[in-house]
Amino acid sequence: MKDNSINKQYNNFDDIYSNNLAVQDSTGNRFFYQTIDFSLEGKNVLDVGCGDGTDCNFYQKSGGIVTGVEPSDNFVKNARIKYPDCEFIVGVGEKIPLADNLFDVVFSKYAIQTSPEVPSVMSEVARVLKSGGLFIMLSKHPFRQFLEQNADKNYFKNNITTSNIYDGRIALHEPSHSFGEYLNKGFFDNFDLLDYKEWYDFPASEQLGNAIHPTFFVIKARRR
Amino acid sequence: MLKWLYMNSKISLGSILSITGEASQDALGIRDGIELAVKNLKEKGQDVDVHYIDDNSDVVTSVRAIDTLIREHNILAIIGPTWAFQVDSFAPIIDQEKVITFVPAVASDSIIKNSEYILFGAEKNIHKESALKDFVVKNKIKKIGVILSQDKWGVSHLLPIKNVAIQTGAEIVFVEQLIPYISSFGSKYIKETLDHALQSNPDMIIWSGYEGEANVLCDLILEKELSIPLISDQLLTTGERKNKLKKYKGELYLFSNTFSQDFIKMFQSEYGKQPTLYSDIAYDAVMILVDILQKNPQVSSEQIIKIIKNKDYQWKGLSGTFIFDQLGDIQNSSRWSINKFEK
Repeated sequence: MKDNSINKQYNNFDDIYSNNLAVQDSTGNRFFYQTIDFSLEGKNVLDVGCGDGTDCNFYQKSGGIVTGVEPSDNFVKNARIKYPDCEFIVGVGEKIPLADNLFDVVFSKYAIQTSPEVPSVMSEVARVLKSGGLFIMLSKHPFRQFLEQNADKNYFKNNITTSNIYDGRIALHEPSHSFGEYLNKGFFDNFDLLDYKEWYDFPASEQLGNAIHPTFFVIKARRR
Repeated sequence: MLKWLYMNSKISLGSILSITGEASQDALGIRDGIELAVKNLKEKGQDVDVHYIDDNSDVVTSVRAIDTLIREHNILAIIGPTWAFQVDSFAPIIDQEKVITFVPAVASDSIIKNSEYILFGAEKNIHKESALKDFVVKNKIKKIGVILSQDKWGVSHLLPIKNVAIQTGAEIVFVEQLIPYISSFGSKYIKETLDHALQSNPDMIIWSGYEGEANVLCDLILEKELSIPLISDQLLTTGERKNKLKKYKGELYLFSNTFSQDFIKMFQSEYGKQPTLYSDIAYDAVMILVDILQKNPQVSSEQIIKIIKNKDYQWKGLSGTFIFDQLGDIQNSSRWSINKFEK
């Protein structure tokens, strides 16, 4: 993700975030991991926006050769200590500091929505993936982000949102996105869409106005 | 205001269960309990219709079934869903629709999202502490290894295990929480986790997880010809694993419920087999809902839930006496036991 204040905000609560990750996010995790219906043995794996490296550790222990890219230097510093068998790089999704055609699988969970330039991240993922490689991502649902816009609710504008997560203990500020930013012509030129799921994970995500609304979506795609 | 459907003395209930898929073992036992209650009520002159929907252990199907039951069958009381992660997604819908929901196999300490309209029939995992403590003392366990799922279900086991360790002086020598559904890509991870657990020389391992992880674990312990005692949820010994695990060289112990002799006798007479873990609770769930409905035929679900959660309400059922607290949990139950898996 882009190296700006939006991504650096995790430096302020990286410990709270990490401690709540496993339990509070379990609905999203369930949807995400159910999509990984193949072996990671011997595969080159990249996690874009890897946070504290928890997922990288899972992928590595499952046989993957794993690299994590993350803009928060606090997260990267801690991840390197906690999971020395993975490689962690400080970097942003819009300009992944790695060569073309390197990876068999790219994962990204609850990260791409932090970017102000989602199409650039999707292009970068396509660039570093080998042909036939798989891309599995989970991001905040655009409908949720529309509801979380701070002012002037406009679905098509990248307004700043406030997400109160983990029962309101953390307030995250991120730009909102439309679906067209994820699934545009560039995406379909590079990928075949294999699966799409959307669901909710209250109260890990705030339930707005007592409405039942999607909070995340999962995409599985194959690099052409 | 929505009212209970109680016309021509026939009571309609809905049931959303995982009749197929990974939670089916628990769901089938629950359905048996429901059917037995319906039969007994009919013999006493009370007709009860139960509209079943099989969610195939899928949370999206499960939640969509709520709407089907309400719109197509005017149902305002549901028995189900089967497992804790489904309840998390149920809760916001149940809050919105105000449907009384009796979950036979789950307690509030294993879910993230609750609703005031949900009643939990199962005992909390924290109450496994007593049975576990007895087991640890009786078997002179000094070192405990723990492998759990990294979700609220798994986490709800940690506290009773820690408490038992403190009370008995046993040491927890290994803890790993595996992400749910890692089995599809993570058999190597599960194998390494088991290896690490064994390297810490535990006297026993406590395991709790899901279908895929259970398959991997089952194959691993047989392949490695292990003989370490294992304590597990019943899930480990369901389906094909039941026969496979008869070859396990060590002892397997399962968290179980204590059934009343009356229920066992009645169940065996009807089905010719032993009840499964939550059959008796499902039986009592029907009885409680019917009892409340008979006594309050024109009362809203808001009022019904208040009546059930009132401290003066109690139901003496075949699985025990039900008194519900404000979280919807039964208050005075002590049913958990640890039984040896009969090979």
